[in-house]
Parts: sequence; structure tokens; C-alpha cells
Amino acid sequence: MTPSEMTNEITRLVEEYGNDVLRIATVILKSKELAEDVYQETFLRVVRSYSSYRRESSEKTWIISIAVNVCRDYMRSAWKRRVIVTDDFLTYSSDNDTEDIIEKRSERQALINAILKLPDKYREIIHLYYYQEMGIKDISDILRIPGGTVKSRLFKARALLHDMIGGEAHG
Amino acid sequence: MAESLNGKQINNSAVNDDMIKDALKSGLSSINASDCLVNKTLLKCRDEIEKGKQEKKSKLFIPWIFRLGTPLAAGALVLVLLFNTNKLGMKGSSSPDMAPQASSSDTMSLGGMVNESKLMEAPVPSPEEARPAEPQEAIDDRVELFKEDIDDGVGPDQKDIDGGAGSDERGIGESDEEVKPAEEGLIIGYTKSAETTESTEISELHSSAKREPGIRETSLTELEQPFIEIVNLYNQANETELMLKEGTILRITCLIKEGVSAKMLIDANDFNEILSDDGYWALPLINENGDIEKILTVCAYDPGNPEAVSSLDIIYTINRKKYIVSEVSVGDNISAELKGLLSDTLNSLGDIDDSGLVIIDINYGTDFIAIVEMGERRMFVPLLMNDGVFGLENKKIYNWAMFKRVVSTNLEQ
Repeated sequence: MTPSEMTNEITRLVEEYGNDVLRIATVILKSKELAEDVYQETFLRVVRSYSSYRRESSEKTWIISIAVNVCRDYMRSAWKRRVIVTDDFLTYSSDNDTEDIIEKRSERQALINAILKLPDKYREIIHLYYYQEMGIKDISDILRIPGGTVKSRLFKARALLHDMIGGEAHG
Repeated sequence: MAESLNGKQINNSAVNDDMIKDALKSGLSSINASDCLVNKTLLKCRDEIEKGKQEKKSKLFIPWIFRLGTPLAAGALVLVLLFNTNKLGMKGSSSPDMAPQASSSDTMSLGGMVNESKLMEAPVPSPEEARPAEPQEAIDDRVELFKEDIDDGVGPDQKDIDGGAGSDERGIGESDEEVKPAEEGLIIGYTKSAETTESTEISELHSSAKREPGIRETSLTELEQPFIEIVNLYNQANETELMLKEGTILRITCLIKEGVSAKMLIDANDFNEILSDDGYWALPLINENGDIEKILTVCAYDPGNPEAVSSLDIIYTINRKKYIVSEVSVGDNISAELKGLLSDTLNSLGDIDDSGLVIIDINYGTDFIAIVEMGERRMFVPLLMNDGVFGLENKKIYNWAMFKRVVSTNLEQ
């Protein structure tokens, strides 16, 4: 692939999967600033490893996998601990909302706040399963854990949400 | 059953898979990459693509993760070397701290007793004589010393060499054949191995992009205070209580920016001709037990050199001057053995005077050459994460001529 073709390919990947990368990084790291760093680093790693991508998994799984690894690097690094984490960066608000909508939003807000309070390993799995709508196998590949562990973590994550919001968080 | 969260009530029946999905989808939909972020990322990717070919070559030999660990490895090995040479060299001064050393021909000391006119070899001293830590044996076993001639590589005292060993320009294998053991003088761990002939596809030696100018002239004394403040800030940010042990800071010197080709190396009369004034610092941090726990590499921030900053770096501002600080986790990249050895060595040495020591980054912060000056003698010791790179053998002692010969032969021309 020529540099020009490669540039076009990366541009396509950034446009197609960029927001997914930014969102998972935001959820995992709970910091917009770090998420933006992860966004850049992820696509730099995509460039570096593009030639070794064997297309055994979907592009999305491959890129999200890289993003999760970058996030983990950040979480391992001391720098992450310097960031002041705010749990309320995902807010729903509008002055024109009706009462029903406000109530609905409040419920969502409470739930997403609960998700953000989950331990890292449950937060990332909840995001991959519910937001990215990935299957157990893809999540297993991305997180490099057995499928059974994926399931048990999902179960545990739901149970934790249940405890946190006092409801029965099951599907 | 419902419970208040942020003052809001949630209905039990609403909390199911759909609710979780809905909450995430709605909540995250507002998070989008800005045009600025996209453009910045694409720009970086384009740069990465353009330099991809060159980096690809390097990456065959430089797993990037090793870059972080290398300063520590280099520091450890250099300190071990210094410890070893200091210790041996102090035989004449009869340091009470030294292990007893025999005076027979096979247990000679290095340093003051060296006869400059002769190239000698002798069996390796016993571990008890050489050092307290086990891994040093590996160094001793592999050390070779060749006659040093700083000026032109051909020693005027060549005739004095037993068996007429010839000039410095000879190959290691040749010298192995020709030199004979002497009764007195320099101790060397003699190995029969000839120069490593592993070839590489690298055509030039390069140092890390993380560098600040004037490193060789910079007084460490002036930097001690900023370094202490950097460590304090690091501790505050990480809730640690690590300490910078005085006298253990390592000065890493970089090669000239454009890199060093085989021809440049061959043409150089002195190693200073291939060095720049740039470099960076390695700060070993010890914990309450005195063990090295982290290494910070530090260099002044240059806005004109954005490539020097990686996403894992942090920039500290001390007295209006900015420093790029990178963290090396000892536990992540360095073996416990080496960690222990470094700690032992630091404890044994106390303060280290680096005036007789130059550590050169020869491979993007991955491989180093330590130049130890003892009087008129200069020893070139490769400290490599990639053993065999450039044809060099790790921890073996070369003189300038041999170093040039081996490296230039193995650089792609």
C-alpha cells in the first residue's frame, strides 16, 4: 500500500471508528482529556500495526481492541492518577424537557453514573456489551479473557448495578 | 424496591438490559471527536506513515517497550561496571571494604597495576573477589580488554605486546589468537569468542529524540534542585514517597542528530566527533527500603521538537522551565535480579562521580555505550537490550578502534 493509499485508509478508519474510540476511552478513563490522548495514540498504533492486521476480526473489533489496550496502558501509568475524575461529565439536560422526559433523563443519568462508578473491569465490559453491542467472543478477544469470564463479569456488573441503584439489573 | 441515586428514584422494572443500553447510547452520543482532534490525529498519522519505512527497520530490533526499561538497564550495568572497576582498581589503595584479592598471576587487579604497553589476559577473578552480587559473574566472564591507543589506533608500544599482537585495527578474533597471558597487570575475563558477526539492516546509529542541548556541559549541581522538585511533584501526583538518591543521576549523551553512518564512524578520529551536546538524564528513585523502584528520564522541553514528547510523558514546569519526564517502572521491565543488583551496587558505591563516565545512547534509547575513562585508557562497553545489535557483544570491553571496526562493519553501507 502506498503512503497515499495508507493515508486515505487511515482517514476512513478515523472517520468511521473515531467516535467509538473516544467514547470507550471516556468511559474507561472517565476523563475527556485522557480520552483524547487515547484517541490519538490509538490511531497512531493503528498506523503502525496496519500491515500486521490479518482481518481475522472485524475492523471495529481490532480498533477497539487497540483502544482498550491504550487505555490500559494509561491506567497502569502513574499519570492517570493525576487526573481529577468527574462522574458527571455525561449529563442530560434541556430546558424544554417535559416532566416525563425529565424523569426519564434522570433515570438514565442515575444509571450512567452508576456505570461510571463500577470498577474498571466491569465498566469496560458493560460498555463493550451494551454500547458497542459486541458478542461474547469479540469481547473475549478484545479483553483477552475467556468467554466464561466475560459472562461472569457481565453477570457481576449487572449485580453491582443492581446493588447500586437498588433495582434488578438483569436482562 | 427503589433507591435514591443522585436524588433520583429509579423504577425497578426500568433497570434492565434495554435501560443500560439506552442510558449508554444517550449519554455517550454527545461525545464526538472535534474537528481539531480529528485533524491533529490525521496529521500525526500522516507523519507516522511517512516515516514508517525507516521506523519499520528499526523496530525489527527495537521492541518499543524496551525503550522504557533501557535507561534503568543501562544505569544498572554501568554502575555494576563502575563498581567492578572501582573495586578492582582500588586494590592498590587497600580499601578496607574490598574483598581480599590474591596476588598470583591469575588474580591480578585492574587499574593501577595495568601495564599500558602490554595487552594481557588472565583468568577471571573469583566471584568473591570481583563483587558481591551474583550477576556480575556474567560480566566478568565476558570481559575482554584490548590495548587502547587513543590517538591513531596503532600503539607505539606494539612491539612490547607479547607475540606482536599487532595494531588495534585487528579483529577481535585475531587478537584472541595472538595475545598471551601475562604474569602481571590487567585482569580480563578471557573469552574465545570472536566479534559478533550478526548483521543488521540498520544503516546509521541514532539516539533518542528525547534530548536537550548542552547536556555535556550542564552542571548536575544546578539541576539537583529542579530534579528534587520533579521527584516531589511526582510523589504528590502518585501518592508515593520515593527519594532521589544523591549522586546516582545518570547523564545520557546523544549522538549527533543526523545519525552516524559507517563512513562517519570510520572517519572519526575520536568518539567525541560523533557525539552531540544533546542528551537526557536518568533519575533512579528509591523506596523506603533503599530499593530502586522507579526511574524517571528527564530532559528539557523544546517546543520545536514535539516528537520528543510521547503520550505517556508529562511536562513539569519548574522555575518557569519545562521538563519532559518519562516514567520507567522497574517492576514492569527490569528483572528482579537486575533491580537487586542495582540497589546493591548503589548502596556499595555511595555517590558516583560521573566525570570519568560517558553513557551514549546509540539506538533510540534502547542500546547504549558506556565509555569509562581511567587515566588515559578508554573502555567502550556496550550495554544492550538487543544483544548483538551492530555486531556488538553486550558488556564486553572494546577500545575505540575495535568499536569503530565492529560497528562500521555491521552497519548497512
